[in-house]
Amino acid sequence: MFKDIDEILVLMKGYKYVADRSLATMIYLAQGLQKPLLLEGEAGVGKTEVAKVISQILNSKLIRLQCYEGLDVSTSLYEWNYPKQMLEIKMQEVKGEAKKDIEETIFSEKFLLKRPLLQAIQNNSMIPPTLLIDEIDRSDEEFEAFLLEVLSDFQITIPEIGTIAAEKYPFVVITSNRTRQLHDALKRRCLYHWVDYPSFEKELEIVLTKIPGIRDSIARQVCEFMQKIRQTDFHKNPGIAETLDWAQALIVLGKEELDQETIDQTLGCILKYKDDMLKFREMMLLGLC
Amino acid sequence: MNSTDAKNEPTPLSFHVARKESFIENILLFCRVLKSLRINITIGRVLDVFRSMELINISDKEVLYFTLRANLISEYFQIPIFDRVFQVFWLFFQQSHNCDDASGPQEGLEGIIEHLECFSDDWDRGQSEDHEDQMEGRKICLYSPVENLATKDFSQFTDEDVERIKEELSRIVKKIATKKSRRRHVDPKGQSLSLRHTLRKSMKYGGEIFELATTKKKIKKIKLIALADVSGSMDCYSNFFVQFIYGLQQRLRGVETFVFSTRLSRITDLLKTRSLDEALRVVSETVRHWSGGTNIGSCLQSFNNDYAPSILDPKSVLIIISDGWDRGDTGLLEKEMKRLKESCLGIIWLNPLLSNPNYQPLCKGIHAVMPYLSCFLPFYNLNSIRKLGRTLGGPLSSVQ
Repeated sequence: MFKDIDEILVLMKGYKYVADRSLATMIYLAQGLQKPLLLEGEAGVGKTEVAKVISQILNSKLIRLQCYEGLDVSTSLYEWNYPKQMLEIKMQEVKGEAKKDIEETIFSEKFLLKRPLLQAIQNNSMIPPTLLIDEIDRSDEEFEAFLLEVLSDFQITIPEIGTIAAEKYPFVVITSNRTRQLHDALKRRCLYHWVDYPSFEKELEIVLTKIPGIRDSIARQVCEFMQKIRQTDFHKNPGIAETLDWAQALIVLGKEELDQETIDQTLGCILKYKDDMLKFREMMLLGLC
Repeated sequence: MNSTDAKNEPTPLSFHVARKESFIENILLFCRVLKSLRINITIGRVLDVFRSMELINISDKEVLYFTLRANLISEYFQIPIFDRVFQVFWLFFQQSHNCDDASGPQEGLEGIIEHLECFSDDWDRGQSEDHEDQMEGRKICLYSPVENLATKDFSQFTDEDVERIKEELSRIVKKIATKKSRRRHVDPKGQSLSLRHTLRKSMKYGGEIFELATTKKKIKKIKLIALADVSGSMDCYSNFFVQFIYGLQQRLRGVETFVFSTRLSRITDLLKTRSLDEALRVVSETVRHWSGGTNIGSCLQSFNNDYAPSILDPKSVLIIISDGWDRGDTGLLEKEMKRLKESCLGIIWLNPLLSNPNYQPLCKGIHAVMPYLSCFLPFYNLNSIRKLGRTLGGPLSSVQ
């Protein structure tokens, strides 16, 4: 349990995550209110990383559920181990067991495949796990509706076994890249936080924290460049992940100064669309960058 | 945080913290003001605000701000509205503290509403601007000898042409109605085996597998929403697409239709008539802004504010029919397109100007919306209707 908001800031910094006070307040409230934390923002601004760092701070197990269209109960919650069940039926029949006993056996926990959501609910450890539901906007409405039920009271019902309720609520982090809007009912159950692109000072701090060997001068140049490039309207503006990749690439290449040639050679680290690269090169030629 | 601690704090809020009732009233008032600005504040959210207050130091302005924001806001574009209301409230807290300790929340409400009125004016600016003077007399009719349906009015078409278009519409409807989802359901005609259901079925035979359960991909029901530009620059196409949408609405369930120029009007119900002529007559009588100027941005804003929450869902496909000639605020247009993109499966922009092979989307309006479109298609003749059909039948979200 966190003592206060400042403690979260210090702890996150210890795990190389430079958080601002607003995010720390959200984490503090999410734990206090036992509500899921919904993080929205552009790709590469460090949403998923929040869950990873929290699990490290709390020393809890990180359970990750990657969302996609068509994700359903059998891949997110539970599934019976059918081949094992069939073999068991055959073995029990040979032994001459009664049908009722066979049914009881094959629908026991031994034959249950626990998927991420069930793992998060049914935890016996002292420290509840951290559940990361990543990129929820990729899933469909059906899954969102189902998730609503799970997140309301952290209990699920398996017809053959009964209701399983979480003894301790897991710390839930839901991320969304905002490719679509989430349903209002789901948002109401969460604490909302918008993760924006960082300011120059924050980005510099992130680069210096995450890449300890980097020279201050090149880190500054990289961050200044990134701040400038985000002003342009690209199809996909680079996030912090790109900044870090690029800074690391520059170290590998042994560059100590940022010049036009270096930028051109390493453009693939920053821009990931051909059109964006063409646009950028045009801008370079015109001297706009 | 208890009231004794709060009294020791020199911040302006400490007075309100000390008077617990007044503080609760202020927070409730804050929520009411947000609600009046179309932010969805539910009682559950308000209760969560008070639960959060137990956990934080409410005399810390920054923490109070983040706490209220986390609980009451769930869209990034609502943040500027929230910020403004919070600023006004904070000002009010300070003023009421400096002036008179006995000032009650009722006086506060008047003050806050007065402050926010200026703000609301700014907010609705986009909607009130009138652009009637623009695009006067502009007609962009295109002619090509091969595709001569392009410039023909529907009333000039032969019966054969109308039949061909009807056939094409039926084909589109069929494609939409049979679009496959990635979800599966049990179906005896399915190709893939479902062990889960097979085992369930075997139970009644004592575990012996007699029946195999198979699954098939589900039908993905998509909903169509059409927004048609009926401004002066689109005059020669307006009838064509009203007839097109009329045809779609007759054949598909749940199609919603809107027309816009300087204002937005919902014409779904007007098109629910028995004959096309009747529909055209009713629409032309009812929609007063036909052949006017264009302000796409503010029309999309009113669509987003008034209709989108109840109409759009992740299964809806929005079809916008417009040439993109817009004199409104491009920034607003872009912002509203972004909101739209996030609320539906995809946006298809049908542009009659694309009939010209040399056409380049250079006008500011079109340029601003391009990044938010799933498809940018021509719309002027039978071939373009076919192309739309293929697009709607395909995996829309991945088409650029």
